[in-house]
Amino acid sequence: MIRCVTFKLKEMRFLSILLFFLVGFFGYTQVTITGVISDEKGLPIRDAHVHIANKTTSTDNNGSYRLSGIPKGKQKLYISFIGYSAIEETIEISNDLTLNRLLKLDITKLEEVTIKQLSNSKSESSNELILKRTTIEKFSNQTLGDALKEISGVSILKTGSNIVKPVINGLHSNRVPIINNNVRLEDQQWGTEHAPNFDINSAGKITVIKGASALQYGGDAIGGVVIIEPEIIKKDTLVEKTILNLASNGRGGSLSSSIQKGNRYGWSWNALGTFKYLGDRESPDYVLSNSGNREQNFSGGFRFAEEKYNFNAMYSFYNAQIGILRASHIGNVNDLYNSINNQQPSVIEPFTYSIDVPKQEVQHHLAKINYQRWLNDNSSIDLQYAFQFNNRLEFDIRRSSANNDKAALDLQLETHTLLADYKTSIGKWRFKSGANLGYQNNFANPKTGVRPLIPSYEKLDAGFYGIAVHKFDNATSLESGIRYDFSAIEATKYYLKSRWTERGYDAEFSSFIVGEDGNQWLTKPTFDYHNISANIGLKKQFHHEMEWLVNVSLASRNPNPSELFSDGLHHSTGQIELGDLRLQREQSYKFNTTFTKEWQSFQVQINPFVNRISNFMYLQPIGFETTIRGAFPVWEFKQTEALLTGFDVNTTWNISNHFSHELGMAYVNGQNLSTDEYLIDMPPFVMNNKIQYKNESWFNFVSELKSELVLRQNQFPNYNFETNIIVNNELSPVLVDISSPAKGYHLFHFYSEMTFKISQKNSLTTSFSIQNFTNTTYRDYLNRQRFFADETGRNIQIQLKFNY
Amino acid sequence: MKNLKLIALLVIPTLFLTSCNNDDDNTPVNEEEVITTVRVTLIGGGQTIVLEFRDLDGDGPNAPVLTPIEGGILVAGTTYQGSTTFLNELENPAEDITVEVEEEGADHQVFYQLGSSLGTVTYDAADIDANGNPIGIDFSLVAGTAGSTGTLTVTLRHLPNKTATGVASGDITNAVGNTDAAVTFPIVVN
Repeated sequence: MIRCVTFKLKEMRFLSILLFFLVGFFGYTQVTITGVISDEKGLPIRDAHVHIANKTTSTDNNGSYRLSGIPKGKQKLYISFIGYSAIEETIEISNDLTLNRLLKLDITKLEEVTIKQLSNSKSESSNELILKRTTIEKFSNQTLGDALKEISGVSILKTGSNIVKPVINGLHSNRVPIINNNVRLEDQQWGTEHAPNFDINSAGKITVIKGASALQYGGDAIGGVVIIEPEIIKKDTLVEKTILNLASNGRGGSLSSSIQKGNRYGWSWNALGTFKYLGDRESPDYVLSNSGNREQNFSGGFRFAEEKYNFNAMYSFYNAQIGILRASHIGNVNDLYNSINNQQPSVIEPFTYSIDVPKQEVQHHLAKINYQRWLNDNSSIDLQYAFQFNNRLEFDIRRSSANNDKAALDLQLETHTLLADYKTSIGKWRFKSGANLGYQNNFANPKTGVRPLIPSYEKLDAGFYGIAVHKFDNATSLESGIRYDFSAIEATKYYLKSRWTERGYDAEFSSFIVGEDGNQWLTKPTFDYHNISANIGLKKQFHHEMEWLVNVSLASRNPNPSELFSDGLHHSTGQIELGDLRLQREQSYKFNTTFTKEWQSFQVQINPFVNRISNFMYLQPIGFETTIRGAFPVWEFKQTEALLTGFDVNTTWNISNHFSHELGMAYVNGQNLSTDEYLIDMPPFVMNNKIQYKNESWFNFVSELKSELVLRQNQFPNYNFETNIIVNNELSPVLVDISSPAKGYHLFHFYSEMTFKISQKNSLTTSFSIQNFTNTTYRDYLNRQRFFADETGRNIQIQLKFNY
Repeated sequence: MKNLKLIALLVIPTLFLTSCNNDDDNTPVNEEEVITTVRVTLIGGGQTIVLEFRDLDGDGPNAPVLTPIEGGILVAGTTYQGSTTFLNELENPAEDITVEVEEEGADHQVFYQLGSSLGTVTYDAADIDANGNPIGIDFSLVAGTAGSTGTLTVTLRHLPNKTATGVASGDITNAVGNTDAAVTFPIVVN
């Protein structure tokens, strides 16, 4: 790989010198080409992409374009616009020319990404990795996290098979904000067992940026950001789609149906409903009891657009019931020890669809209104109000079964956000700036009868940002941005007096105490934060086929409620987790660079990064506390100096007209610099290889074989501890091995599909896939249930997709 | 189309109304599932021995308190009638959880681990659940040989596998389930 980079650098220099001479020498042989691009009705198309020789541009409001400096001779012409068939031709150029072209609407292209964007990119100098609609649809039956795993550098942190969180370059949860439809998802993302509350079927396009460079979405994306955009069709058409999935593992499936009335101007609207119903999953050797899940989701919205403005409103509702592996409920560390050593879940029942305790029931409402106005050809403002309400109910196995239908955790999180954004371009400059105001209220229902780890709180956020992009020429642009965020949080929490003293809060935080109740203090901890985040980056196109991106970003993240206030037993892990009111914000300095090189049929992209994080917050074991249930390990949120380094590699090779190959690799190394240990829960090295066979003349037949190789993570901290268990009626000490990562594994997946065109507008795509077709038994280091059970075994899936 | 707009217009305000919640609800959590106290009473040889573990801050940092501090002093060869009580003393008056354990007997079992030289524990045959399996609240203990010292561990398991090998006779090895209480008392046989 290193050889490859040096080769590229050398070649880059050579090419730029060559280019310089060529331009100078052949300067006089260059011509200018102008023209107008219109649709079938003769209406001009704005923002159409025009590409002649190695020059590119976009059409203006009148559909016209102008490209100068085109060398004479045979040149390639390429014109494209979303939703239309692209024009590709070779032309002989000898003089200045006017080339007018007409683009034809292409119905099948509407299935692809058709998104209205003000600016084409979220970050000029960071690598944007995009999941297209066709890929997203493959995961219709799964989760957002499963789909994101397709991107190298993104791994997943799981709790069982249904709770899946994306991990970007080794970081997750609050370090990876998820932006859904221009709204930052506020769904209690602090918990590792809280998956994004989002229906994958409502995504039209998903973009991953591995860093904090997309400042308009916040300054705390220490890991990266996931941006989800819905499909918006800008053509006057009605598109309906239904996807039916059937899965053998879980013996269920999902049905998702959507209807969308598109329009360039005037009214357009859409609605989508998804139902999911799956029973217990199965590992190769046993049923994973109580691992079924259900979802009932709805979203809908409308949009009114005129030439100068548009208004849109939408509402979505996510409703999920998720079973948690029965065997993962433990009472104390003896139970944990037994589970780790038995290598078999303690409860295995016959397959069932029903979901019993422990389980999660989560609901997420999102409603927003957005108004966008073009002030002139180059500037626009965007105003948005969004409301979110998230309710998380967690049901546990209670000592008294009469209590089992009463939630052990009931958190109600309400978020209001106002956004205002302004965008303009002046000559070679582009500016983006905006402000946000947010109010959040979390209510921890005390009627659960269990002390909540997260208290009730109120939070106020305000921030503003400015981003400037300067385009030196078509090949070089520099981006720089800065953002300021203010945040104030006031929590209301009862602390056990013994805990308050043990934490050493008496002297430092006595001002927070506002009352007392028996053996508890009523406290109102209040904190303010002022954060600066910034970003600078360069994008350079050395040659048509080679691109270099480099970006340095500073991100700041405040401690979340779980890191500040946790104080109790986390039942799913059998550990006492303690927050710390003294925690400071964590700051990351991330250096990120991407080289992309394209040859005739081969493309390679290499993305190394260095992320230096100061005050990195993490959980570390600090000892034991004895309770009536026995001794529990105590984990405390601590701060350290951390260094994450790694690289992601992608290659695409079009072997022939029919065969292609894709490779994805990712490696990350996480160091705890203060303790000279590795960081816990870092994703191991992953390599994915995919061979695809495609034959358009056989009803668009596609067949893929994918190999997923995950090595054992050898870089981990040793957090093992000793406990006493009863052997032959006597207590004897044993080591509880919670640190050793699972073995490496190698899985094979198969996928195939065919598309039948029924009429001009109607088509049916059928797909047949087998995940883990060798039915390999394995456990994953980043699955929080790896102590209790194997991962799921073979899964045969059938998907029918109707477009009409 | 019109309907959809109408729905959206109706839905959004409803959300606001339903979400304006209970800010005044700052009541402390009334912890229902806490066992603060495990008490073992042994009656035999004209003597009543009460062993107790008490942890009034639940999952808090304070360790449980053992009384008497020296644990149980038994007389060799004596048969003691034993019973165990589980209490939540955070409630006033204290809640007797033993009643609940007895009521949901099929879902609970108490286990006693005693070093073999200290004696043997046998479940009371009358203390059984609806399926005829032992619950283990009542038991008898025959003290072993004089001069032995060791421990008695009392474990309350929730949802054990009562039909697994040895479980019915009090062996915890194959019991699985979740531990609701596990305490260890020092024992001396004189």
